[in-house]
Amino acid sequence: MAKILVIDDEEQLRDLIKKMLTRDGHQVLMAQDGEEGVRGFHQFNPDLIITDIIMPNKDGIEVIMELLKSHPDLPIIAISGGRRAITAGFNLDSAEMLGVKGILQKPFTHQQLQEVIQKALGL
Amino acid sequence: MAVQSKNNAEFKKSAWRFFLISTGFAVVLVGVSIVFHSTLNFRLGRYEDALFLGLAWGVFSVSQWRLLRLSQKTVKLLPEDQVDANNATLRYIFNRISAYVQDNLAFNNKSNVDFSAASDKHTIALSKAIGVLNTQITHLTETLAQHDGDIDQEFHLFDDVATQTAQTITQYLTLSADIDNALREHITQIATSLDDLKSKLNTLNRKQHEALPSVDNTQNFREIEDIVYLHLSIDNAIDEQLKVISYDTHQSALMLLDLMRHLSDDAESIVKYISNANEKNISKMESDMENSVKFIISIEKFIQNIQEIPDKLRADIAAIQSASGVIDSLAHLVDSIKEISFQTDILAVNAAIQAAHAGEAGLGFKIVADEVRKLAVNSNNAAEMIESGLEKARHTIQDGLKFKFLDEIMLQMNGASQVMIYVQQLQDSQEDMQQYYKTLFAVINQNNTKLAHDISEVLGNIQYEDVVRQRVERIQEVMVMRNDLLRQFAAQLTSDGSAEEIIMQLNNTLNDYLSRESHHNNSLQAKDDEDALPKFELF
Repeated sequence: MAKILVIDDEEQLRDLIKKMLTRDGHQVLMAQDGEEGVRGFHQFNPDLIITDIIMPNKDGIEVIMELLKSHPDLPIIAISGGRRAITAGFNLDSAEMLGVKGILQKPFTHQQLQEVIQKALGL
Repeated sequence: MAVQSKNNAEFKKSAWRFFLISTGFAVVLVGVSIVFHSTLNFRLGRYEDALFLGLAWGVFSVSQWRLLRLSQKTVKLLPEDQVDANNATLRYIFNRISAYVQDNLAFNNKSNVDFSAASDKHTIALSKAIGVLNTQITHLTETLAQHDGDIDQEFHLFDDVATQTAQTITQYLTLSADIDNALREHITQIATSLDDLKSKLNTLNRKQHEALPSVDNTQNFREIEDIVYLHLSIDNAIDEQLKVISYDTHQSALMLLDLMRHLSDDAESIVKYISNANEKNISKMESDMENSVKFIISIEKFIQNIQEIPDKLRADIAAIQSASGVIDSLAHLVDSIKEISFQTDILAVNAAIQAAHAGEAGLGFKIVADEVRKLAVNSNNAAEMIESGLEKARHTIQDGLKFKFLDEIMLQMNGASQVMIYVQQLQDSQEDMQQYYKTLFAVINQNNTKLAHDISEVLGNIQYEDVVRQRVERIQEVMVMRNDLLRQFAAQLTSDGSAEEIIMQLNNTLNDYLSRESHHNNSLQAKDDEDALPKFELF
């Protein structure tokens, strides 16, 4: 089972993802914005990162660019949607262009999350 | 005859020993290596590689067999007085064949590794070219060993084919617009050139039976030996470079193709991304903007309403205040009426008392006083009625005013909450737009960096083509110089002059060429050379 860092500014969604991942036996770390996420990555060295795109302080695009620059093979899954659904598709396209291993549009099911994690980890 | 038999027997013995020492080691080493690799490849399911190694072994074995036959044949054919001279020639031939076999084998092995990744067609074409080259070399050495026929003509033919090959390479380089196709064409042309060379040598061989050897001068023969040796050395050096060029060109073309494919993929994905972003998101953004504009217009209207309200309110309040003032002044008037009425009443009562005192005379006056009193009472009643009416009016105005204020406040509250919604929506769409452009620029910028890197790689690779062109030019240069010297030598053969000067110049040409090449040794296979089999001389 993997060590996963979840970066999302919406507390409810963060908790929901944590519940899903914990149930699957993963070790979960959480950050509420991009800056905290990058710090968490350097501190805990997770196997996988799940990050929202639109966030305060440092957005998901900046997080993806920064982490993939120093760790090109790091598996990252980008999530977007919810209240600000208008640019969700575009944001996920952008994350894919930057080289993330998986994308997921909110809202998503537990099964969809499991599938995209397996693909990202190459299982 | 007895002497000849002895010489032949000795020579045969030494040739055998020579053959065994020179190639025995290579046969064992290469044989074991090939069997090992063939088995390994076969077990790994790489049947084509196993087959290719088998072919290499076949080519090598055939070369050895031909060599063995050649040594026997040469001994049989030679007249006794030329045995010594031919021993020396045979050494050159051995050296030449061994070097070619060695080089070809090394090249085959290298090809097996490097080209298997490319395509089967390339591998088969190269295998064919190497096979043809081996046959050609065997024919050439046979011809030289018998030293009959027109050697000069043969050199020219050999040069023609080599020049043709060089031209083919130059042609290929200029035709680099379609690199892959040109490469296939190039390899086919090499194969064709070698086939052509083979058929020319065959023709030459047949003609040689008609023209018998004319070399009988030892000094002259030694000079020819030197010339042949230098010629073959230059040829060898050129061959080496041609192999390097062929290898490098192939590798460079494959690399370029790979880079171009990479570049094209990257460019395609960024174009697709931008076009998607334009089609999907810009229209979303536009509708978002439209909504925002509508919100702004709504807000403007509302702001205008807010500005209008105080004026209206002020006007209303002023009107109400003036109405209250009127009511108050009316109330004062009522008081005056009441006072007048009271005074009138007293006056009427006093008048009635005075009328009673006056008796009959005051009777008419009493009637007037009563009427005045009635009027006073009526006036008082009217005043009270007015007063109560005014009071009602005041209440009505005040109540009305109260309700009107409440309505305004309600309206204001609704408006304010609506403004809050509009402002939030506007802020959201503004943030969306900011995020959109920030993301778009970040992704495009990152991909531009990637594209710039790809393009610089391609440019670097194209510059490598220039290195290949320079190598080909150096080959052409040395071949022109060598051909001039050979022509001079051919001209001298008919006279009695010494060829020492020509030999020296030929030697200088070879050394100059080798020295210049060693200064430009930046081949793609430079790293592989460390793994190549060591070359060994048989002298």
